Amino acid sequence: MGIIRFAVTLILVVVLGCTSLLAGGFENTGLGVKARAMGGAFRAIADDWSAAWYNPAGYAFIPDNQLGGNSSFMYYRDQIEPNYSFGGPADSTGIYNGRPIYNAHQVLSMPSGGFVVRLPVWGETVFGLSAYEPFDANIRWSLYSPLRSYNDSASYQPPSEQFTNNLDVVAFQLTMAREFMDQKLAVGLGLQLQRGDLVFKNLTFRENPMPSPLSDRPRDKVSEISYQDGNGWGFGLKGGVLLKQSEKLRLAASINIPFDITLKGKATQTFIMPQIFPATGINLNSVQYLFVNGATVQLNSDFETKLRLPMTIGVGAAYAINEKLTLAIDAQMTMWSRFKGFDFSYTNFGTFRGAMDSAAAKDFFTANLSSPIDWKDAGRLAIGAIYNYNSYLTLLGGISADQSPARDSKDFIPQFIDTGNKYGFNLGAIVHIQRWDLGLTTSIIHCPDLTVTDLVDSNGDGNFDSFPGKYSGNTYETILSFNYRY
Amino acid sequence: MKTFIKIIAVASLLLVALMTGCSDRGTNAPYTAPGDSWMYFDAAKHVFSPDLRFQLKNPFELLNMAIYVPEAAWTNQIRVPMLVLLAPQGGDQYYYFQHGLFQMAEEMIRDSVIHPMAIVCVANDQVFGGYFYGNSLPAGWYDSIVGGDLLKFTRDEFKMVYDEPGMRGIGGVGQGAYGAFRAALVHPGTFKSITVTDGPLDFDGSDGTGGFVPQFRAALLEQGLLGSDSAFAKFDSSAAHPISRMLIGAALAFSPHDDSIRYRVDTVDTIVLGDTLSKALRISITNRYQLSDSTTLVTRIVNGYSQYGDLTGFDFHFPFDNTGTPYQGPNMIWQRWMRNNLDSLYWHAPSAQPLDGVQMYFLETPESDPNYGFHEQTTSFRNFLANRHLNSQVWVKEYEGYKGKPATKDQYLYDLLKDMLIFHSHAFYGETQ
Repeated sequence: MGIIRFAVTLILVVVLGCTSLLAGGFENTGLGVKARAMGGAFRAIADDWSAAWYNPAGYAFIPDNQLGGNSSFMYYRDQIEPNYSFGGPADSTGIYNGRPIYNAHQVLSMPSGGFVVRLPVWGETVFGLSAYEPFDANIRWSLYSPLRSYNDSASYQPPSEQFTNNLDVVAFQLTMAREFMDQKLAVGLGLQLQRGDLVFKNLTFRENPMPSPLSDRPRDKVSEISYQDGNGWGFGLKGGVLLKQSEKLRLAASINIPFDITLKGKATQTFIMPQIFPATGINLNSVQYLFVNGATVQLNSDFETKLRLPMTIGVGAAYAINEKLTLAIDAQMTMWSRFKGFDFSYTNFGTFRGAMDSAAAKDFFTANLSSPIDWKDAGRLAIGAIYNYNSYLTLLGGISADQSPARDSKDFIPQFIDTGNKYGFNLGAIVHIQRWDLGLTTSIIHCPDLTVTDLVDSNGDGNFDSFPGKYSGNTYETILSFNYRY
Repeated sequence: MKTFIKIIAVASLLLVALMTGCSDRGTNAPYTAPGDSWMYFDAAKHVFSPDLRFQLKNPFELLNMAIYVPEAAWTNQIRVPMLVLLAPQGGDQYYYFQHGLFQMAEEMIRDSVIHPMAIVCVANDQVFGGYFYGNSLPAGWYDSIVGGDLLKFTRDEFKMVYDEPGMRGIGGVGQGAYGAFRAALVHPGTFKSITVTDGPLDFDGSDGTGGFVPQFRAALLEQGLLGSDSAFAKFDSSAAHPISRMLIGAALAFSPHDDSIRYRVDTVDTIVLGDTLSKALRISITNRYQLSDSTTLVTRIVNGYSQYGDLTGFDFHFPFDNTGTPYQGPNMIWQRWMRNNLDSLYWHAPSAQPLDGVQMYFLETPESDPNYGFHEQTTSFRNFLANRHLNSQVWVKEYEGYKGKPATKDQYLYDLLKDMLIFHSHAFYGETQ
């Protein structure tokens, strides 16, 4: 019963006691129980298949072949209390101001895995093939219902989840690593084929092009809900070095260079048009009538946008205090300033008829949209520890500080929630049973509250790009992993 | 192996507990109930004869109105106070409804933001955009209607409406603001509350050179006729000249020249060789404005022919010369206008303190279109009231539009209407403003 009591106590500590961190922006939180439980301070350890993520050079020092995988179960439990006002007396927009609104419920599963194999190529080279998700964002919100005076019939049938972002970047990585300098230095290279998938939905309040009084409040802005569903392929490179400075000290550096991914797919623009009743004096076949009849105009098109992923540079060190305890430190900079959000360009709208087939209507209904993001490069620091308790149990821990790329950002939107710098500590455990390593960690990640006050048009296209309100939330994450050595 | 299974079992149980803890919170997005079939009465027009008998191009003597009555009041479950809203220049009876009044009132009553109330929306005349709810033959005798016959009409037709001054309010936008105060001054004690946006509330401004005075020149400039000897012969009333139309409406209300009016009765027919001919009956009109001074007379604009053939021949005088300067001729036309200025109506009101006990709310914006000068006129009139030391309360809200959409006209009426309805609701029931 001793082992049971110990295991229960340990897991309770892990479940209830640990806080962790999300990586900045929409970078994934990491791979593998070992690395995650060390807060990500794994660059200079890099001794399982997940080194593909942290430092490909680590593969060179892995003595045996491995097959591993993990699955992360995440639940974003976020909340927005919107405070969305155009300014002046126009304080009602249809956004649920003053109410705490939850994101849509979903438990997200993110599996990843890979294998490591030592082959007699160019002497002896370690190869690995892995698939994982370096970038991920997934959140959905219902934050809007048209004002009754804007469109009475649409007010109680609003399109659900007007703000959605499901962005997945999956990397299929071929890793090669080998030793130099008589097992002192390892160099690794990862070649990535990246697949990006995007489902992005956004509500844009478009300036009503009609003159007054047709564009008087509350019809001054036309509600356009744009839906994009597409994908694309790209490439990326990972490189790393790992130096065994001494028996106890290991130094590491790595770089990740993703290339832009062009995303293409289908788009649907849904316009909830204003409704004026009675629309006296307006010709039924006129463009003006389109803007007063309260219809829902839905257009299908193709879209294209560019996903600019950030480069990452990191260094790390690990020091073996004794046979059981190793400490590690990691520092990383992610160039989030490369990511600019999305500029969607639309083509192939099909045939327009009637009043829609006019230059004024086409200009309005086919306009390109964007969701700009203004992020800064963000740093990350982690300190972790490995404690080999005995031959069947390894305990892991780590503390970390993660800088938010969205600090001081005026473009804060519900689709990309990063409310501020995050601090945390992590605990985990790996049970070794014969050739199997089974790991478990679970995290409760508390994000700082953030109040966004400004409604801004940051790219000057006439549409507001930020979403003011009070943001708060927690993220629950459980990670299970296995590793098989052969 | 046994130990391993036990560890996995415990871990799995904890995992299940954790996953259960991440329970579905559902959605807390508010539910919006669909509106029912209840609507305002959009054809509540009424004949106000003889008040509108000679109004231009209004052969049926109709005052167009649209009336909102809460459903509970219509089904006689409750009695409600009444708010009269007067449309601005060019606004018809649907003006306020087109700015969201109906849906807003329904929501605010449902949410207990305001008490249920009936809202009577009165159209401004459409021929020249409106006659300032003034009192003349061609403009109509609005002094008899607003605050008079209109209340009798609602009392007779809408029994669910309280017929007492404490349960009656009036308000307006632009010309409607003027009309609201005019009705309250001409009929003291009739209304408990007044809400207005910027409007023509002081024709000559605070120093006698503001208000409409700069608009005289602006109207001539608008038409390219400044300084022209034929300025009034060529004066155009098209909708492309809104300031000119506003002044034409004011001139017909305050300084008309009606030397050729006829009134024809179509009901007396004569059959001649199978054709029906209507007989015209020329009647005598008292109080004609027939100024002898022709310097500022505009004769062409009101055509002597009407398809109905019942009203013809209204000319009018402008109170300015072809340079846009207030005309100081022998008949003092500008003084005729100023007699209709609110300060003058205040001094000549039927009672000494015509606004006693009236709660007033001014919604003003410095962004108001300077071409009309309404903001300056409004602040000037409000200062006039402040100097009267009224036994009444005045509230002021100054607002501005948001970036890129200044509040030059009534772009924000939707938002202001909320304030107006709340103000009247509080006034009716003696609640703190």
